[in-house]
Amino acid sequence: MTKPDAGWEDELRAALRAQLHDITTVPPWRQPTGAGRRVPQARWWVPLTAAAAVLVVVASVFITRTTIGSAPAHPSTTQPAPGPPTTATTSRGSTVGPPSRTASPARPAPSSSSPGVPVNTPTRRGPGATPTPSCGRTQLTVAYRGGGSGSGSDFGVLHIVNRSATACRLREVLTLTPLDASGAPIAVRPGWRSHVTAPGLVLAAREHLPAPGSPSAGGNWALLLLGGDPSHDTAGPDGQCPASKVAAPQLWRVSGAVDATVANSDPHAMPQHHRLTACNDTEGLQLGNVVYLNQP
Amino acid sequence: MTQAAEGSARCSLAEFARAEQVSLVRFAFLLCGDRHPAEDVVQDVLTAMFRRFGETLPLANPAAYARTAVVRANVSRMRRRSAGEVPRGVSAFAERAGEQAGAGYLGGRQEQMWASVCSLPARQRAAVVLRYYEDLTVADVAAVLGCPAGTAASLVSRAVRSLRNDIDLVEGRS
Repeated sequence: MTKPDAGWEDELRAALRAQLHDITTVPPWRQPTGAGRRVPQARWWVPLTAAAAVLVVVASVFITRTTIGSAPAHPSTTQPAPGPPTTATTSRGSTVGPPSRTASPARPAPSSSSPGVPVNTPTRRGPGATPTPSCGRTQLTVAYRGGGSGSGSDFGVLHIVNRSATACRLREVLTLTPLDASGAPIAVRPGWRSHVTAPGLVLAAREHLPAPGSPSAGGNWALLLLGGDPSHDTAGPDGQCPASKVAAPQLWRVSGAVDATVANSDPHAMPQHHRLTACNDTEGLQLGNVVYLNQP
Repeated sequence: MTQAAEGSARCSLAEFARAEQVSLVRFAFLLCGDRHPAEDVVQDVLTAMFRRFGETLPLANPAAYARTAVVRANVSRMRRRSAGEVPRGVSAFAERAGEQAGAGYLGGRQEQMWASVCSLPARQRAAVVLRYYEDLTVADVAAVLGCPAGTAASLVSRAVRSLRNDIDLVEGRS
């Protein structure tokens, strides 16, 4: 260790003390308020841990719901009372305008505002979920159930159910064709959109068609909403469709993912809703675009 | 001065702060070279003591404990470099000292010493301050710094050598 001479040491001491001549008062230290001994220090990891826990819970719920959605089980959706989808409407413009989703009979929202229509919402497969096979044509059965009327339009619903032993996912395009009594297609207005793309619904196994008279209560099925406008004639002098032009298809043919022909008849519906009717004017049958009720 | 064993004596932290805060700030100032960081360091140390001990200090020598805490807090502060203090090299120190001497600065030599102290590494600087401002023995310096006495002696020795080299450089004796 260097041995500085005493004079140098004193000089160093004086140099250090000379720097302190103006430090005579300092802001007094104040005891922290609202805390006693061992005030907890800020724990930065607490919010991070909480956020991680929330993420884990959300991920678990998501995976669980996805897995359940892939399994053949009934969805926990609104279980409506029997009755027509009264919130769906078919406007006059919708029957003659270009095909679009907004120009078709509106799809009732899957909520309390659309009683009578159960909704099997599309499920999305998450990581780790078992893939659900696509539905084969032989697995599916179709039935027509009378809907009702609203805003001058008729409505009906096609139920597509899976009666096989395994759950399947409805993926393909479905095309609807109205047929007359001879089985010939009926001309429909230009721009009518006759097809819809299946939104990937998972249909539970061994499902049954809704019982007659209780058209849509609590099932696990795909639903196609059909609409017709029996009130308006695009070429009529007053725009009203005369009774002579009101027609009803005899059959509905569903092709694509399903290959079935069903009668446009539901004897258990209210008399005025046994069949879906539409004005068969010069443009053709005034049907509304086909829509899925199950679409999100 | 050694860190006292806990429980051998008791005093109020508030009283200790009132009595020792100025001297602690002066000590911290010599360690960090700036008054405001020195006040912050002392505030942090007193608050930490409150967190650890509460309102009553179970320490025989709380001043020694506080100085140890100040040294360690200052070393941590220097490591973080949050204060923005930039140690000056010998050349910058010599340049400044030469300017002051040329301007007839009366306190030139003390300022030169202080500037040289400020250029020391944190632990050497703490050793010098403890040894020559607090007038501690080498053993007590070691106790405050938390190192063996030989290490403390080495720190003081190297610091003094550096200071003398700086002064000699400025005064043209090297």
